[in-house]
Amino acid sequence: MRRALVLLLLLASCKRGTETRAAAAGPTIINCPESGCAANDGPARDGGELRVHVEAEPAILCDLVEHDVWSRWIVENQVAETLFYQDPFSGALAPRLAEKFELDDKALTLHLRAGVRWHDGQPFTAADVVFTLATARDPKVGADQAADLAPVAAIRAPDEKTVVLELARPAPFLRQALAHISILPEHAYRGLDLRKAPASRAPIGTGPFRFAAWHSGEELVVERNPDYWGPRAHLERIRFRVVRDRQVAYELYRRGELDVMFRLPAGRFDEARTDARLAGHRLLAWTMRTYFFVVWNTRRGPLGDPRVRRALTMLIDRARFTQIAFAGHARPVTGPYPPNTPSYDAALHPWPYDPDAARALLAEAGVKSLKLTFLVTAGSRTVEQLATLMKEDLARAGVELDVAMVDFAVQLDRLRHHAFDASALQWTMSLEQDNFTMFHSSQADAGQNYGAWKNPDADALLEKIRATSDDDARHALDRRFHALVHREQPYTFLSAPEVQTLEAPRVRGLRPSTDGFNFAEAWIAP
Amino acid sequence: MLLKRLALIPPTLVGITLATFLLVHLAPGDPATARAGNGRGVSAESLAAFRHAYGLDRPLAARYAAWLGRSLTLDFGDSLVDGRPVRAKIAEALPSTLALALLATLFAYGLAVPLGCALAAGDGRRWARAGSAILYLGYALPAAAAAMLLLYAGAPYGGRGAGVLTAGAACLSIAAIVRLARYQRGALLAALRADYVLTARAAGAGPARVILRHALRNALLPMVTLLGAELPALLSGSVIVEQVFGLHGLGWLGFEAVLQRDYPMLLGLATVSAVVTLAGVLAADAAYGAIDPRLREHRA
Repeated sequence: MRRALVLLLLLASCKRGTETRAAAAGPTIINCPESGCAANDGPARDGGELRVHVEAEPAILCDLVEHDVWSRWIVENQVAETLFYQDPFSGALAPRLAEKFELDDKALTLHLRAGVRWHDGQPFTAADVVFTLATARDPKVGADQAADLAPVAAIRAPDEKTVVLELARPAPFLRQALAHISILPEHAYRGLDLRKAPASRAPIGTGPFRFAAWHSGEELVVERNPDYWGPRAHLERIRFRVVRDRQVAYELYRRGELDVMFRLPAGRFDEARTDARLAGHRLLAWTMRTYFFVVWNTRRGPLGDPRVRRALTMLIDRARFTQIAFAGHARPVTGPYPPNTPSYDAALHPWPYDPDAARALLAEAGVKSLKLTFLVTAGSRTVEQLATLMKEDLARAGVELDVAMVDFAVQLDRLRHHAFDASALQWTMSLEQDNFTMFHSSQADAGQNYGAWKNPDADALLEKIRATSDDDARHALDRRFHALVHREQPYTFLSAPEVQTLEAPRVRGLRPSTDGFNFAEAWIAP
Repeated sequence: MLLKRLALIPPTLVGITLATFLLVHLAPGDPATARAGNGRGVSAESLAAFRHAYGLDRPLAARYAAWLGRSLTLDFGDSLVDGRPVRAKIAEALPSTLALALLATLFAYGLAVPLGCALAAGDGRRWARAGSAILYLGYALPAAAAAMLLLYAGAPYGGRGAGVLTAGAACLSIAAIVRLARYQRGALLAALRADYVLTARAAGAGPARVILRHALRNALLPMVTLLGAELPALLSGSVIVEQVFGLHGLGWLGFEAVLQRDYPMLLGLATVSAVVTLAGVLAADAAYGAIDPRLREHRA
């Protein structure tokens, strides 16, 4: 059955291939610089509708209870707003709902913007901010952002337009964290379960777009907020069309039923670049702040020995993985910080692919035979390719890899209970990345330290990083931590895949980034 | 007979829901961790609060009893994924699935009966053998491939228009057409060998009259029985067809509920599918009686 499917799809794509040879022009391919890119030619004009592809339907439009990339995309800084706005490339923080602030190691004082109204007409006040931050900190809510608010000892509002966050310790990541917490309207949530409040399905914000409609399984619509406090958005309406299959979405895009496709399906790049139907379109190639990695469970016998983990890394042909899984469109990474930031030590190079040295290391560590369970998400093609490659590579040194494909719910359960030997995951990083929850030994039981890595030097560094307000000093510590992780290999770092975003010819001002798009910047050319 | 069948429905439903309940709870994976994902804020307190809010911390027997009590009033509880009532979510997705299933059944029978008759009438001839071979090829075509091909050929996507439903139903019905056509051919061939057909022929009836007036009526009988078997499969929806054509139906709802360990959603879906399936079986039984006078007499 599967083979028949592949054959038929091949036939279908061959047919299109000949079309493109007849007319050679494809989309304009733009390799984005690190600062991101967008087509900005011509004067900005108002009006028009943008149809944007989203790959999954969000469950709930409230980012405190749903850590869903698509709901953030749609809500954060489009419908709802945050206290600060972080440029997704430079990391610069600009005022948003907080107009001014004062920060020292004891407190962060926020002066809120005056004259801001919620989409339902109610005034925005300090009570909304206090409610949102208190909810985010509530351990019962389990908000992703709670970890970022850990240094906050108390929150108070001396008046309608001022909020003071008293700090228990220096909080270098706090303002960045506040750039990713959408402020909720207290009046719409008071006394309600966040999961069931109507405002979690029809969000009320202060942002440049108002929520308009949600047709389950089909689309979400937002429209321009004519009463926005700041510069009004150009687009009249944005339709987020839910298309779960990327191949289907790509076909819809080719037909002109979508204006923006955040990510081209894997392996379609070479076909797209010569596709005549995409002439005049733009294909933006850029790299997300994410990385694929293999986590080793350091509690499992020999995996506790850094030499063994290093040997396993050197056994895995990571360049071949990049070639197979991403057709080479990915960059290698060596540590848990975004490359091209001062936290990332660019002088470090990936451990070489060197099976001989790896075998010698294993012998030195006294490992004669090793059998590992590799826990992976079923249905992910990238991970399946990785598992196949790793099985072959590790077998060369007599390491037997037993691949366990489970669905994500089971994988999470087993990761949390450290019931695995190795697993593959992907992390998305902040521009100022705090690695405490992934690597500190205290996070083995409640956090994301799935490999239960325990290293006193790492713990000390991570604690110091969190307490260092001075940017340069902290970045120096980051680089030291990067070097330590590189040496110890609690993870085998794989690569950061390139994303290819497609934009229709008439789209302007839209900059794809790890945080999605900022639609308030976009317009539609005539 | 029909009454006896009706009396069997309540215990059947309880059995189906109990089995579903046990199956979903015995599967590994926990809805609280599945919902929490690999976010950083996940704490023992947040997981416990979630379990408590949805009653997941109560014993299994108590939970099933509570569920059964509520579901008698058609309240299937709230989805663990988005907190919306399961009933509302099913009601949203049911129209697409029903429309697809009915349309697909119409296509399947509308094409399979004449096709089967033609193949039986032309039995042994070259064109009939070629026709059978083509049918087998169609059977080998997976719904996913057929759906993608239709999409590449310009089939519409999304909404609930006639075009997209027709395309989806066409994909769904391919396998059923082949299955049913083969049954129809076999049943008609068997009927054509029966004594009464010989009698009809001897009485001077032409080939068309023999097939349409005498043999086909008997050969239709097994086809009606098959309706009871085909309909449930169509009604449970098709993840792939729904995904390719952007139809918001029960198939996708069920698929996501399994991945997310959304217990109330799974139970609600199982119940609705069971009810619809039993209704289909009953309808087939009733039709059976209408077509075959012998069964009518038997029942009276």
